[in-house]
Amino acid sequence: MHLRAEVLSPKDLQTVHENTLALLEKYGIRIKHQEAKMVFLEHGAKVEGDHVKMPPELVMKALSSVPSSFILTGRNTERNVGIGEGYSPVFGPGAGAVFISDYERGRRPGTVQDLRNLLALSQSSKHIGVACAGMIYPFDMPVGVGLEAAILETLKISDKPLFGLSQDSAVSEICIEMARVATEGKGEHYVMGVVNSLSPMAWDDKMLGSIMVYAANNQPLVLACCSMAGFTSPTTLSATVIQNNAEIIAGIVLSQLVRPGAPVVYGNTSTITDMSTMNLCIGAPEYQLISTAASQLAKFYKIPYRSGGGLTDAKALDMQAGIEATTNLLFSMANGVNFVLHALGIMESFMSISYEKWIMDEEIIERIMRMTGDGCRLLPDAVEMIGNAVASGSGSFIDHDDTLDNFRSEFYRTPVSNRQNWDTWEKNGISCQKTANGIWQKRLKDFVPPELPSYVLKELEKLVQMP
Amino acid sequence: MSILNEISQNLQCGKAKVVKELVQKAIDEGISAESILKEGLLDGMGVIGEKFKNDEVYVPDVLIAARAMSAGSELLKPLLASSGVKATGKVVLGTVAGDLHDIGKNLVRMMMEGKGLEVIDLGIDVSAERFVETAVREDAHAICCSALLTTTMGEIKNVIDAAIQAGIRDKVTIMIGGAPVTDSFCKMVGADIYTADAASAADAAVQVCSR
Ligand code: B1M
Repeated sequence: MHLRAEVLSPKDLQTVHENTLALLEKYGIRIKHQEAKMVFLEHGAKVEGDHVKMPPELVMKALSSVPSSFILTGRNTERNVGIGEGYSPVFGPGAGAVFISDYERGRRPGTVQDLRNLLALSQSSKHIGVACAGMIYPFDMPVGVGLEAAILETLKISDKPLFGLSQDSAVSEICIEMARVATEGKGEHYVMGVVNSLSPMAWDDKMLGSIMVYAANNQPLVLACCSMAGFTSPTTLSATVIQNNAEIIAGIVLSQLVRPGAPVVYGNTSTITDMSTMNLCIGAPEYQLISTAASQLAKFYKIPYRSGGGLTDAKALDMQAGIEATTNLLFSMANGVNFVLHALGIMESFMSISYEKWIMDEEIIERIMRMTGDGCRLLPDAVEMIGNAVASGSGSFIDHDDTLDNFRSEFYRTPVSNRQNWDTWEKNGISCQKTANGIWQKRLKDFVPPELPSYVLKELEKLVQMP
Repeated sequence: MSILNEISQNLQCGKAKVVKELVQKAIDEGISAESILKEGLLDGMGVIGEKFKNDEVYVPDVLIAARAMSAGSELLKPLLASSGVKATGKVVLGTVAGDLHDIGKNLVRMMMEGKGLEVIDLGIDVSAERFVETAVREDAHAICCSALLTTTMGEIKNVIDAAIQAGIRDKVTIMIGGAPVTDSFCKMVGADIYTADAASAADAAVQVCSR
């Protein structure tokens, strides 16, 4: 089954593009970072105070140097992933969570042990393509080395390509260095980070610093925005898309001026604001309108696109969580995404990761893959097969070759969703949460971390200076 | 309809210009500044606040009402000061150092201003020293810190330490909030008040300032 979500017509797309160029030329983007301003100035942008205004030619030239795809190298090169045109979407787990929750212990601040557990689940997930150092920020990391220690844990427990940290230029430098050491020169691009614009129409110093460091080192970076329509961007969604596009493009232009050809990913998790709490609504249907438009724009510029995955605002693993995670994953996969962050586990508007939801999101992805995969395969001999089976008199296909040969591949078996009848279900006291809990516990028990050569570990430990 | 009632009604519709004109008219008619404030402006904000709690109006409605309120109270300020009526209270507000998240903080400001408090908003990425210096200079009742990152929550401790250093810890209430902040964190770090949302932060600040 082919799913192709589009929201902008070719004419709309052109208009959004032209409006974006006009916005960047007439009003510009707010930037205070002196070095970044100088880079823009040197390349023909106008700098008026903290406003950088860029002529369309500058923008278009910079955009044309962005690679349409790239390979991200892991510690284990068999785990390398391709991101962009020609590759299937790469999934990353939930990230940046403050809290963690599970069926037995409920919601609580995340710890180092939780980070380790999630890394093991990520390494053992057939859907996750990258090892993400910032899934949660453990409360019990030693002070002063928290971020480096999280990167080290990630490199120890996973050999997938690193999705690293990029909070500012210093963190970016150390993260790139650690990834370089860990991958031992096996590939050109060995760590990917993510930065966010400061809507409306600004980039903060810290983020600009990271953009410049990642670009200078030729490492891929996701440039995203997470504006809140009605608060930090316009309520009219099309105008939000224009503003977002201008913000992301301004960041991408900087990366290309620092180093033409530096790989970048165009990202967007902007959505609407709840007008009574002012909370960001990542489970809202409008998110997919914005994200699908953004995906079309990224394709228009031939830049890989990143969107969100199983996003939900739900606080519990209830129907809301299911509806929101499913529609978001479905539309992300239908709008031609190249990299999905927050594919698994994320809850309550990015605030927490649930172990059980992680497992359930894996099932949602598998369901969507089943629907959008091979589709309905035709048989060369369907007429004979049906005719003979019916004529054989058993009246059933249960023991027929067609069943024996194909049921395993033809029918997707849900790991979490329950298909028993009422009595059995009730007798066994089954719930989706409980089933999912059993699955992740078993996965952790069976987990064997990949090898990390001791000389690499030693070098990495040197980089994580204790205070 | 009395003029005070008219002020309240127009404030509820967010008509800043009309409210300002009516306040001037009321002053000219000789109504005391305190009555205009309490029975006109604050009365209107009270109605809006109640409706907001009941989900009948939304944040943008509250915001434009608060704007109308400040347009009116601008005219009252000098009169209130000369008649010895003290402002409801003064707080210093900001997002802690290293943190850029300001949506929650801005909401807190709106709600506090709606309650008639004077809010000195220092913006984002505010150092502990700036919080404390400003509180000293402005003789503020409270320092209100917003933090949205696990890595910047610790800055709240620095603000508290700076307040101790400056010798104002017993005079200033330290209020904190932000998505990762919890009540137990508040106790652990030695802050005074944690509130989960902007409306309760404003309520708590009013309480603090009226002590
Ligand atoms: C004084 O007393 C009080 C009392 C109550 C107070 C109070 C003070 N302050 C707030 N309250 C309370 O009142 C309000 C309700 O009435 C509430 O305020 P809130 O601020 O909580 O709620 C607002 C009304 C709405 N909520 C928000 O505005 C925050 C939403 C989320 C999604 C969020 C946003 C929007 C943004 N972000 Co950021 N962001 C997230 C947030 C996840 C989340 N759901 O909270 C969080 C906080 N961010 C995170 C991250 C990682 C980051 N963000 C970053 C950037 C941004 C944007 C610029 C894109 C944008 C901020 C825009 C802005 N102008 O503020 C980066 C950091 C920048 C920095 N140095 O600060 C960056 C590092 C991402 C990156 N790689 O670029 C995560 C934190 C990670 C952690 N564990 O520390 C995060 C949980 C999302 C995630 N999972 O990744 C209450 O908390």
